[in-house]
Amino acid sequence: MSKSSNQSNQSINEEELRKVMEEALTQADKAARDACESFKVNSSKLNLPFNL
Amino acid sequence: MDKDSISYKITPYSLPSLKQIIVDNTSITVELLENRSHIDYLDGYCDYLKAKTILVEYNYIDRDYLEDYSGYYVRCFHGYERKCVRIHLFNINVTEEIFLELLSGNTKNLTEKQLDKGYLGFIVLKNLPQTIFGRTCLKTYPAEGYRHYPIIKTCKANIFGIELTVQSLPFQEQDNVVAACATSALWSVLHGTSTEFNNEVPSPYEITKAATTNLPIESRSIPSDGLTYPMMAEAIRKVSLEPIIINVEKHDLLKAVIYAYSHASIPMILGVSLYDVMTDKKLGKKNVIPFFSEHRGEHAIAVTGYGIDENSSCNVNLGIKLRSSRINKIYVHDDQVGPYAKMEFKGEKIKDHTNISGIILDTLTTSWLREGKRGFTKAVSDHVLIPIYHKIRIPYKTILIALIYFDKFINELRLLGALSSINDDFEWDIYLTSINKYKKLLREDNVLKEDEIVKIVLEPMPRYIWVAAAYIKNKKKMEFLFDATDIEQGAIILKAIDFTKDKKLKKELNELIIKYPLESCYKNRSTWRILNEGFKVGE
Repeated sequence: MSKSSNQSNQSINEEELRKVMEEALTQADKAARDACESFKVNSSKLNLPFNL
Repeated sequence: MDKDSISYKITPYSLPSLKQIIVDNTSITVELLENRSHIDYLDGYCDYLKAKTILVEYNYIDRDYLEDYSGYYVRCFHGYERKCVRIHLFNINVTEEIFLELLSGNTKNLTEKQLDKGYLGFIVLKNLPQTIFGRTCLKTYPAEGYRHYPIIKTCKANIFGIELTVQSLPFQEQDNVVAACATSALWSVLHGTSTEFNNEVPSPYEITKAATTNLPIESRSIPSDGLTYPMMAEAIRKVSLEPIIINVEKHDLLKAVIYAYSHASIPMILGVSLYDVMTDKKLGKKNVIPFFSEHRGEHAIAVTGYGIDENSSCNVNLGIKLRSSRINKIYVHDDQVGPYAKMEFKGEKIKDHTNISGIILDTLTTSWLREGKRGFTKAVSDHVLIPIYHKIRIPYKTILIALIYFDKFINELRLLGALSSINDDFEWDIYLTSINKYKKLLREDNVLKEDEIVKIVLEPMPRYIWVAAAYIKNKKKMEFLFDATDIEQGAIILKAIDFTKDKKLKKELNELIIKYPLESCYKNRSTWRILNEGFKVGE
């Protein structure tokens, strides 16, 4: 899908743009979900005392 | 000589003399002292900072120890010493004669300013049987282009009317009675937050008491068996700060969070599990993944800084390229090692045999000793606990997620060839800061035109903001300011600043948005808030 950066936005096909942006949103959704998953607190660790 | 009759002693720095001073003024034995990490670590520090003189101040009364003493030790049958000894370190040569001259007002050979300039800091020695290192304020290691210590404050010491200062963050060793590692780490962290948030700093005894008000019946608060995350959170609330907890089992997230909050001079507690890995000799042969021989337990440390390798490559992690991924080490106040102890991300992994699945864990190196050697004890991070000012309501996660969507949107437009003002992926620099620090930095950077700088600095903004700057090959292309004090349902975005030549990026985005129905095919609310309310596109 990569094109030359010199390509003018005048020549972008609207249908292609829609397809690409919808696919990008799907990928962003997945990346955001994965990132959110990483933040989740691991409850099995919460009540272990730090005593070293 | 009776210690009560003398006020101070000066001696040239050497490891044997440091050991002798410690042994003479505490109840610790040479053998025990040498078996612990601290003395070795302190010698390495003194060597690096070129310590030349030790001044021993007798009969020193330390506020923090006095609180611990009055809360616990005074009620013991054994008569523990109330007064402490304080060791001052200098990187200049000072003799008894010269110091005496200075005390008498004769500044011919040494001035107060010269003494202050050569001051490396102090270590309070508590006269307890084993745990002797009290409040310790030592100068940080030099930055040398890669070390960052954003959480230091001016620590003052007064020796017989001579005021000395050192930029540091107080450290102390747990005493195993009123304080476990978590208490010591929390004590350092609350010292760090006091600069930014003006919170009170309780003594270790007071922290343990505050943390353990709702203990289960089978436990007792003092002697302390250690604190859990909820207990530490309780102690943080007692000083009117809000605790936030973030899972940092993934090193990418650990680096990102340390980087983001340290910028606002906010230290944090890092909880780790320590594992002793087998030596090659015990294992028989070298393994790619060493097996651990022993799970030592859970340990809490205070994160005080980080080291960054500017020449390393920036990886895509957590969905976008983050500048924080260049962090290759962190500096911590580890009460079992010393202040500013280094922990490195070397990509070493261990296999957890206690877990049925034999899960592979990422580790950080530590400076813990095992059988007198360093390098065999590894740390596995689990969570960070960050005390923050109650008005900082927007967490790092919210900003990261918004940027994941925005980055993807812009990148796809770039790959389509619709944006000529950007020619590569963005590298994101995300951090929390106060508005005053940000405005100061904006003036110092001097990248924008003068009238643009004036416009921004005169703009009313909230006390704390999240900054997300997008770079391509170390050149800033744009920067977003988010209101850290807003609520998550709010707009959050305050401003977007275009750093591209002639503000071309904004112009190109404007044209695209007017021409194409982008909003209907990229339905992400935060992206459009950034574009509409930050960049003011479509206006």
